[in-house]
Amino acid sequence: MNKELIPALRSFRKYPVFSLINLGGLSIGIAASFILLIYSQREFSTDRHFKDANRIARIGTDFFHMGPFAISQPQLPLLAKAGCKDVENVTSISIEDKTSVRLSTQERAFNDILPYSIDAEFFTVFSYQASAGSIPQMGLAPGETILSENSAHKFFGNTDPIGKTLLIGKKMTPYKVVAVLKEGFEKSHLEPQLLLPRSTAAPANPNNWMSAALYNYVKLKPQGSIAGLNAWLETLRRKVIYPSSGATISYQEWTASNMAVSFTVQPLTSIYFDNNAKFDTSPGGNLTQVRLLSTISILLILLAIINYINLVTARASIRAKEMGLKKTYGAPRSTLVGQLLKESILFSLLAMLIACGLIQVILFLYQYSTGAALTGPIPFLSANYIWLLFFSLAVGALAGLYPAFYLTGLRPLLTIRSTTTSGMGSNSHIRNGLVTVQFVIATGLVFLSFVVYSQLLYMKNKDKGFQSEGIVLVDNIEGMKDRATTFQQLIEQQSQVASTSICERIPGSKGVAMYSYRTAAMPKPLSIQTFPVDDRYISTIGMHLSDGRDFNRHLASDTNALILNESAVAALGLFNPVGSVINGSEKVIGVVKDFNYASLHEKIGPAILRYSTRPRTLAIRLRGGNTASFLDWLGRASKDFQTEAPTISFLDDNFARLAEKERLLGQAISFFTILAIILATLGLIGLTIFTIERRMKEIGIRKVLGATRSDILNLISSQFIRLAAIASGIALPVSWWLANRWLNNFAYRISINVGTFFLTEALILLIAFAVIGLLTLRALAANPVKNLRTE
Amino acid sequence: MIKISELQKSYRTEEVETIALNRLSFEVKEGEFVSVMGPSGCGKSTLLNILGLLDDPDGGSFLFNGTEVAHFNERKRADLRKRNIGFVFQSFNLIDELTVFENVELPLIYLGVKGPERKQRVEVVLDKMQIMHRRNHYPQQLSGGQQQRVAVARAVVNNPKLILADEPTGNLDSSNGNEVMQLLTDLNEQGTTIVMVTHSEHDARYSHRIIRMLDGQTVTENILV
Repeated sequence: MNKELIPALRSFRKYPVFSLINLGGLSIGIAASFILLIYSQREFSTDRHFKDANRIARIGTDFFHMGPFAISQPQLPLLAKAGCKDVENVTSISIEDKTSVRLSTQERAFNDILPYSIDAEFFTVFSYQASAGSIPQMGLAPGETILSENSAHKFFGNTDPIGKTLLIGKKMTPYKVVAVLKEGFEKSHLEPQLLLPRSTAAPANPNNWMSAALYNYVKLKPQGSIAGLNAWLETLRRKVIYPSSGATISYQEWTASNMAVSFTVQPLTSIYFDNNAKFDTSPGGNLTQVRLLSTISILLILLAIINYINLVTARASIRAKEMGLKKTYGAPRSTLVGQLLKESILFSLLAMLIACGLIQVILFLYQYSTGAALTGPIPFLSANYIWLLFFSLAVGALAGLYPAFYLTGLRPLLTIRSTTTSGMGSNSHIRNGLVTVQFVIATGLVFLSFVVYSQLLYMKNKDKGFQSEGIVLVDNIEGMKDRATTFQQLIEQQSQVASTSICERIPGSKGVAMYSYRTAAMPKPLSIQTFPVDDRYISTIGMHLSDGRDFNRHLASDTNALILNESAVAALGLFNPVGSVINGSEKVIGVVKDFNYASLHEKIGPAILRYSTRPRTLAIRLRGGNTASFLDWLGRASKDFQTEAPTISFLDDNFARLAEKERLLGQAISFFTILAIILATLGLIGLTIFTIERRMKEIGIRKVLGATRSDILNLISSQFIRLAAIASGIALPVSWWLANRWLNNFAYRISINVGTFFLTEALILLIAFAVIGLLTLRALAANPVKNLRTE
Repeated sequence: MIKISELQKSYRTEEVETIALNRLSFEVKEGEFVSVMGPSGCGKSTLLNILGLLDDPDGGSFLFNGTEVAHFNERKRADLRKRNIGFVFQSFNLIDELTVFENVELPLIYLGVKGPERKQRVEVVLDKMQIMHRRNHYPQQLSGGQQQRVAVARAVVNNPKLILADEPTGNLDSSNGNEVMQLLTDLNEQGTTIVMVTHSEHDARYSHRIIRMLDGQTVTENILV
């Protein structure tokens, strides 16, 4: 053992509580901030693991200025490959509905498997690797399939899937497994569970540019550029799409009109965060969350480093004497600095070993408490852990730097004679500064957590313009065709059911339907979100009619009737909406109050209900009571009407999904805020113990002179409370500003009230008082006389 | 003023039980100046701690001004202490972070004396102890004798009926020691009862009576005056 380190180890043994607090804090700090660094690094490098990732891009479309779609036209790939000089290769993926997979006709089906149908070029664009079997570089032959590792495990357990057959879909078409995709730690916006071959026959109608179905990816030539691709797409638009649209207006007018079709080219590496496109393959990342958690990771390690510095310099008197003596006997300062740095690095490496275990614990706790994995398991003994080593070394050096220079900078005589830390004034100023920084971090994070949670709560409880609670949706009932009404009647006979409605669109669902509307007074039509629904929709969903009447199936004229929301009334410029005629023959029969159909990020826009009995979704309003048994029955009953099981969900869940990113953000920030509070509390415990030890004699004297417990409590806590107050003065305005910036992303948001400030302050002070109070009372339980003997 | 009878106190560690006071009895009258002497470990300090209500006896009786205080709770003891008793310690026990003025002011703060009155009382006592010119200095800026004068000032600022002094000259040279003893004598002459623990025969001669202790008991009592 290096002799220089022996005093450090002895000091560890001599002050076990102090040392354990320090080690615990550093371990938590290293573990938590390392997890967040890995998380951020993984998020930021999503899709970058594909070979030539920076040469791959996805072409999406925008129809009629409805906003970007992730999918584009089926004829685009062939044209792009043949016509665009920047493009090396093109692949298109078709992702349709979820399907079922069986191992044999007798065995039960694995439902809800989402297959990606790929063409021959897929693997030339995306460099997937196989963990079993081999990747067919020229694409899948008919009857072949490739599984993800996860799916392979799901279907086959631990047996080798290669060469085995799967029966896929309701027709139970056999497919032979030829490979299993290797799943690394890397993340991708593509999440294939099952790959199937797709025929690449030319589209039936190459002149139809109004229909998009495929996810089209291009790989650019090494010398190619996105700008070149965009220029080609613009030419295509002008030379091919505009003429085929049959528009009678000029090209410029057409591009601005509601008939325009345009393209959006997204570099592969930005798809994950730039995820506003409709029908995207995955929900995508949340840049705010990643940025926030990256910041929190820095704050967490800062907290841990501050704890280390504070706890080491707090005991300066003990170590300074050793340093003073060594200096007196001729040790150069550099040697002593080296010794102290070695100590802190050793300490940090020890903390790293504990952190290795803690990382797993924190990941588990995160998943357990939030229901979502933060990073997926960080593969052990991977390169990530080399980074952990470097990270810990850096933390050790950083944490040790100030104490090393501080302790070795004191005059030897002073430190040898000194029995207290008096005369080391500058040290306590710096320590107070660092404690204030800790309070700033804790206060800021608590405030932000409260704001995020208040907004989430607001989003959950906001009046959406209809009653979303207690509505069950049976989706994809198109297959029932004429029998849908019988199905509906059967359901209405159930005692738990209050009412039902057949419709094509439900608020909060993924689907988009926009129709053009124009009154006689309007120069050009307006695209408006449209909800084709039956005559029980308004009552079942619980919308509020503010004018006119609902649809009536017995009135033949209602097939041409419209019900507008208030925003649509305003957008169409109608003063007396009921009775107005739109599009020449469609009559407005009613007005409903505005309702949210998209996420609360978006302001409620115009929406129109039009009469339709085409079955797509059946909405069921429950009376309440025995929902579980009803859902059970519903699942079985719906299978009798349709081979492919319809999807059953709650309407509330649709909105919950729209707020999923916010929910995850809220959980992430509160989880790591709790960790930050734990770290800051550990530091506070250490410093309070130290302060009490240092002031033990003073406490004794004051008690002898008549001080009560509360006088002593006041004495010890006042210094920390003062720092907490200064910290709040800094943290609250900054976090208020940050919180407002975040809230500005929402069309419907809370305004931060005084209560949030008050609650934050109360929580921080409560924790500080609890820590200081308990430790002080513990110290006071000792006889004050003993305190006077500590000299 | 003080009457203790059959007072017992012992300390236990895991292995040994040490009897500090063994059925100790004596009386101190109001206005008396009593020295307690004896070898180290004979129980002098324990006795002083009990007299100062800083520690509980295990058994026996302790009458303070006729009231049994042996089993007072912490709050009552603190209250009695701050109103009636002043302490002078060998190691001065001044608070390093407070000035001379603030150290002397402390007992008055805990007594709830208002600011202006406090200031006046502290100044009177600092003047009396001839330490007024050092009022804004910190303890570590003073000599040992000056520090003990501050400690005495602090002990008397609340006009206690009793001063307990634990080797008040132990850390002082002879001239400073004599000065402190003269201060205590003056206080006693003005009516304050003093119980002083000391190893010094010289200091003990300032008192009226010496109680000599051995193994937790009184062995002799010498009356000097």
